[in-house]
Amino acid sequence: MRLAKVLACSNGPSVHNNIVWHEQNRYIAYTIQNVIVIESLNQEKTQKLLKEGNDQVYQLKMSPSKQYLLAYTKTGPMDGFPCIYIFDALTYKKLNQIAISDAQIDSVEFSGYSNMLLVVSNTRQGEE
Amino acid sequence: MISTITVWDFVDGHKDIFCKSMVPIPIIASCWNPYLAGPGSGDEFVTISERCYHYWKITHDLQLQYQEGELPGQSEGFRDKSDAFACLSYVEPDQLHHSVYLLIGLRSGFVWLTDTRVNQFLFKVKVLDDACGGVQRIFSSHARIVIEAKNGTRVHAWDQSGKNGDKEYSPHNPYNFFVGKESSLSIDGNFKSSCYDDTGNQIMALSTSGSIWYLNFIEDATVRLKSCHWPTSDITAIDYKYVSPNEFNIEDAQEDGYTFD
Repeated sequence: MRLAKVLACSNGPSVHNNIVWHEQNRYIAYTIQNVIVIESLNQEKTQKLLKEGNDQVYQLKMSPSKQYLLAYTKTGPMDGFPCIYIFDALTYKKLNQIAISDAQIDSVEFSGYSNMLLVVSNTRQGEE
Repeated sequence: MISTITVWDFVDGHKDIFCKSMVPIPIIASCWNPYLAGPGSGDEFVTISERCYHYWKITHDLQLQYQEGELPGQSEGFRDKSDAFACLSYVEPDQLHHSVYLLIGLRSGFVWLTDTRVNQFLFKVKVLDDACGGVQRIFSSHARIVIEAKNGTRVHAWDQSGKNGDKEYSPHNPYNFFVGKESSLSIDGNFKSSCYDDTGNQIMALSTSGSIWYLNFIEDATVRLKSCHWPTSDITAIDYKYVSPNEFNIEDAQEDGYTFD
């Protein structure tokens, strides 16, 4: 028995902007709980799953250069701290993981040249 | 509550903090200024809090300097006590623009336009009805400015071509950003997530109903790509029953008005 397709997608209050689109490579990526689903925009809709950590992914971002795919968790109730995961947007290999020593991440933004990350976090646990 | 702003170097496996600052107010959202020339000069960004916004600059010695954004007079500013900032986006600059402009969306459905080079509030415009629950997201391209509502199934766009029917206007004048022809596309729920192409012609969107949509403003088209379920509670067990094609003929069943149990 093997997993054929993921049919679910997180779209409740605990996620925001958890879909990205790589136009050149013809795929969309979305999240379900702590899993990132990379789904090709072909007829077969082939999927590849990326899973890092145990907490729900809050948001996905594609870098302006389309080189990096970023996911982050807003809080870290299971892993202990919110985390930022950075993947290669072509090979899906994890390139980096940054743990934030605050209670909650409010915003993560790639710089215009995709070489820096602006992270806003705060000390108070928000609503999940 | 203390908000922490950090700028990270993450390239080639680095996890280095370029600079860091802490402010005693909650920050709602942030946005780099992507329209500065040269790779070394992408060092400015804006943050918004509920009732104030700040321009930030990374200095050569990697310090963060900020300047509070200008607020309009009381009569021109927030509509009431419940009004607050919600989102922000830079206007994609044109070579004929005199400055780089910033759009800030509010819970009241207004959008403020500011001139970031001289830190000046220019005007505000009501873009969404009160029932829409405020501005959730703003996207800007040379072709259009797109506004998403927090509680609304429609995404609204204002053309930036300089023509609205027979009427022509200068699209380079910031006071004309919302003068262009307005169009909208709708999906089967509120906009939960969205992703735009560089031109703003195409959008991939996830609705609160769990559908993933492709939207195209040029073709005036909306195509549902996928319907998903949203597991609000964990699935702890499943069962299934195999029905062979011989036992179940869906064409006949449809003729008899078969409904799935």
